[in-house]
Amino acid sequence: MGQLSAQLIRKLQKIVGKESVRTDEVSLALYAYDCSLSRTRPDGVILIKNAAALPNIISLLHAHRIPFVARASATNHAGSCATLNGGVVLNLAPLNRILEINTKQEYAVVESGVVTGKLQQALDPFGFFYAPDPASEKVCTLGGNFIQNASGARCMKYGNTAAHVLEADVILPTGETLTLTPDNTVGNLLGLLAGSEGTLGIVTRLKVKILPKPSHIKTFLVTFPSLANSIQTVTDLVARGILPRCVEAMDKTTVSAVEDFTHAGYPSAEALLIFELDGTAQQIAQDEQQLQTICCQNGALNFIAAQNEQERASLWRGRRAAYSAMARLAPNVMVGDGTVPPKELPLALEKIHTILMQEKIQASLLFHAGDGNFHPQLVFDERNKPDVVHIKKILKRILQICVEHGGTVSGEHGIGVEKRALMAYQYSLDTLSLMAKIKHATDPLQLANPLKIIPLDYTEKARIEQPPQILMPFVQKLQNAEKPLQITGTNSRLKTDKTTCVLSAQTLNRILEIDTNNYTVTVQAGVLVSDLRETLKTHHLFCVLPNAKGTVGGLFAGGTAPEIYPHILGLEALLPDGSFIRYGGKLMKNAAGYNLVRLFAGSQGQYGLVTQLTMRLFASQPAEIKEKLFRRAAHNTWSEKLKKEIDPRGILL
Amino acid sequence: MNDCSFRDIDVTHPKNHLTSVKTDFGVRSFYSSVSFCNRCGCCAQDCPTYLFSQDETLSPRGRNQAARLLVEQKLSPQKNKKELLRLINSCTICGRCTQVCAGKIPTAKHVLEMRRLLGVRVLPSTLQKGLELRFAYPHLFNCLVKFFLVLRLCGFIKLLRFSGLSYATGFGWLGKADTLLPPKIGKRENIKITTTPSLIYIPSLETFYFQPSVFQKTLQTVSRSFQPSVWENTPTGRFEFVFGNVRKARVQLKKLITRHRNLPTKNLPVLTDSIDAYIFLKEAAPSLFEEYPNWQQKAEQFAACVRFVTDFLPSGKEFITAAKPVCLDKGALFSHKSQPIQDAAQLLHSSFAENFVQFTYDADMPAFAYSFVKGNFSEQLIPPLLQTVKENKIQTVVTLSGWNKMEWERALKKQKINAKVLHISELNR
Repeated sequence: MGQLSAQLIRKLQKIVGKESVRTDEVSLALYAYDCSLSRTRPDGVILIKNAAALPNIISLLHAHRIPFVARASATNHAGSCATLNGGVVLNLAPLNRILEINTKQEYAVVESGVVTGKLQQALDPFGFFYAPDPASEKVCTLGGNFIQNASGARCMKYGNTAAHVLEADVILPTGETLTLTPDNTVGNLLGLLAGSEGTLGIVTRLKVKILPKPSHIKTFLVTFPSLANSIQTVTDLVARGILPRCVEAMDKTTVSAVEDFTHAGYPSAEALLIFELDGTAQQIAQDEQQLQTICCQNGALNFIAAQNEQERASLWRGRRAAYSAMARLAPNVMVGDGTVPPKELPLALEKIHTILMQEKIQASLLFHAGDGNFHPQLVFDERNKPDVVHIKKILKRILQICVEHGGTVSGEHGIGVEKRALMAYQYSLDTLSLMAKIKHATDPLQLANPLKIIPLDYTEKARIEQPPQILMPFVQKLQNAEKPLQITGTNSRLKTDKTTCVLSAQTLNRILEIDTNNYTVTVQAGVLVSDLRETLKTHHLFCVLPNAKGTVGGLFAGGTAPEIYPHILGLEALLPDGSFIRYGGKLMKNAAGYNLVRLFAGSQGQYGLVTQLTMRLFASQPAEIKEKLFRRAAHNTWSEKLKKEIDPRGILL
Repeated sequence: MNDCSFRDIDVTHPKNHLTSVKTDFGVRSFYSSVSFCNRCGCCAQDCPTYLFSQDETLSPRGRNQAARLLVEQKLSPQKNKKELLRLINSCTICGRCTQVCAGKIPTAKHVLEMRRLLGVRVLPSTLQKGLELRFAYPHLFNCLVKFFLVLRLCGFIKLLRFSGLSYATGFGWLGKADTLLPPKIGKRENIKITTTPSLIYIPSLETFYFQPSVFQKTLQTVSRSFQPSVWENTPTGRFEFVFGNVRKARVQLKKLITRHRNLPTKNLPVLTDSIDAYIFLKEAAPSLFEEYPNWQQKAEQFAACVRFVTDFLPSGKEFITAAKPVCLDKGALFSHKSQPIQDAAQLLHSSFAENFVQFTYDADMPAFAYSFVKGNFSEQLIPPLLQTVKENKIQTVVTLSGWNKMEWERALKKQKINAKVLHISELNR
């Protein structure tokens, strides 16, 4: 029973019933793992059949100082479900009811244990679909997807899970329950919770966005003489304003492994892409023509278009069997999850290939070409300990290469315990300290999924990053402030008078880089929205921005346009103590650590001064969004705790 | 495949222990086979016991991990027997997990191995003796079955049950079998003996004794184009394989194969009317001889001759008849995607078109098939399945084995659902 006293077990049994509390050795052993290599036995397992019982359970565990880890299908590749400090596993899989499907307002309300594939099945008869499609959608749950911020092949067009969750019921590690929406508190804490891997709370109910199914879908298989050609094709496609529903890619090794296994009829080539276009028949016909032209320009060797549903299934057969093709070779397949800016992909992949060849590792390489996310699949035998150590070392090196190319150690699988040490390689000391503060504020006793995400020795291992020279006056002002400061910018809507001390970001008004290879724009926070829109227009580029008077930073932190949050890929900010943080970048996906973009989104300067933003660009005009009326954000219990932890002096108003 | 127990396993060299299993990617040792489970969890949503319980311990992944921990001696079979028995006895051996698994891990076979290793893969002793008697003295066995029915007519079985004696060790199965079996043995026409057969028909035990109409229809179906020879009371080793005595299963299979090989015409088709017998003879039997290449080759040749009723049934409205709408029961051990199941679905689809109701995956539970093997968990799968039958106003349930037919009839009667159950051969006009 470990940490669980007989008295506590009796109390828990009283809440959930005797049969739902397990302390037998078999249950403990079988709840000790997920899809990763981590294996730690908990002290107890509780089957949660009713969400209403959860707050009481959490409060009880909190009162007894018992750590807990929530899980459902446990398909996680990073060891997020391992109970590193022992404690209790809360099995949320029985919370699997779809509560509401509203096709008029396009949303569905589900319990967190609903399997993603089951929601898709339920939506199908109504002609709707749920956009995020993790590869394991047949078994993974929506709660798990949200808490890991999972994405999938369709991410390039539709975005990751966080972009599709409208509301969530969450139980904080202290037992308080909250309902979060993107704009009902200081900062987009709903977005912060996405990808937090259960370290900040437990989600019991979700309201997710659903979309009408496209009337037509067409699939294409194209082969290229090199990886670089294939990546260039995707960049050119985006440049023409074509956003495929998904772009999946394989390298030569994978193609031949798949072909050996499935005989799917894939032509032999250095790189193979599977495109899928969706929309109206007319749209697809237009895009297809352009696609063919672009592929030919980039030296495509074969261009195969599926003419019917059967052919489409046949084109996908090989891609879907890629994992199986590897799984038959050895007992274990370790799936990596590095992400780099798309432009860097060929170079990073070349280095990885060299390492795999040198180390004589049997591996296949799959990647979502559109967003720079790749999955090396390394086969090994878990029973052979030296083999495991070797594979872990190789994977570490691969992920380090990603970071060296401006990427991240996790695009969609999360950090858990397996990539925890690499966080110190990716982030600076101040950025990791902020993440640690977020955890400490939310869960001071370190009970919710403890010891995950943040490296234990980050204070020694993480690099110290100085703020750029241009920010030094701001740093000094923050550090020396005696009175509370109000962050403002051009056309700021925050009311100030003569007595208010102001920290103005007006001088930070440069557009730093328009990157047409990765389709990103990096701007300082004080750039006017209208200026940015105009400049981009001259380049025939577009951003998801409303027609607003203020600055980009003001729009982002003011919380008047929550629709822009999914399109903010990275930021730099100064915290109230003057420390400088950097998160994300030209990355389409980043599941490493807490989503700091979402912490500052709509925070109205309460957590820090956003100095720089990196945004996603489009080659065609996205749907116009409207700015909402500005209102001062109100704190809830969680945001108050965060504010106290991040700004203990209360220096930012 | 050999007998062994957990005591035999040398933990320092677990790969070397005796048991091995046949997988889609070749023969692997038991330890190696369970180790190929990558814990991806893709099997869970296809496992009826997991769907019901949402409990990891009742998922295929959980069962494979438990097997692995047992072999690695990280779980004590003695201390955890109760929980382990719950885990392995709940498995319905339907094989759905293997179908969806990327690595094709044969979890159902692992469960059977675990049952054997934990000493629970055995028939109740009385039933075992009855079966042995059947093989040794078929006539005496026939007399005993009749005697049993007379006893039941006299109310002896009820008396036994009310007195509590049926709960005594070795008699537990009696109550179950009593409610399951039909009230009387139907009349069967005399079997014509042919000296130059062109097909061998091995009726399953349940069909031969308790489902004479199925037996008769199957015989009729093949008689149109073949000269069948019925090998009644022929032990195939299936019960032994499923319940654990692998050596006996091997001996009986050898006898069957030799008898088949000694026929004047070589490679005659061998017909079976039970989906479980088909899967055993076709897929499991050759794996019993993996250490005897010569016999394995013979078993594979024999397996190639094995046919199911669906191979001989004509399709179309003029040949096939049943009250509509119809549905297909996919209850089978080890595989619900075996060729006969697919053929049967195809046949029903072509004959009944929209009147053939295909259940959604959740409702299509493998609830019926050899309840002796499956343990009591399958009882929980029955109500939703019956509910689906009721909701879809199904008039005919088509099964692929006589035993499933008996189980279905019993369940429908209990729930007072007015639907008929037919073995697929009974659809033939």
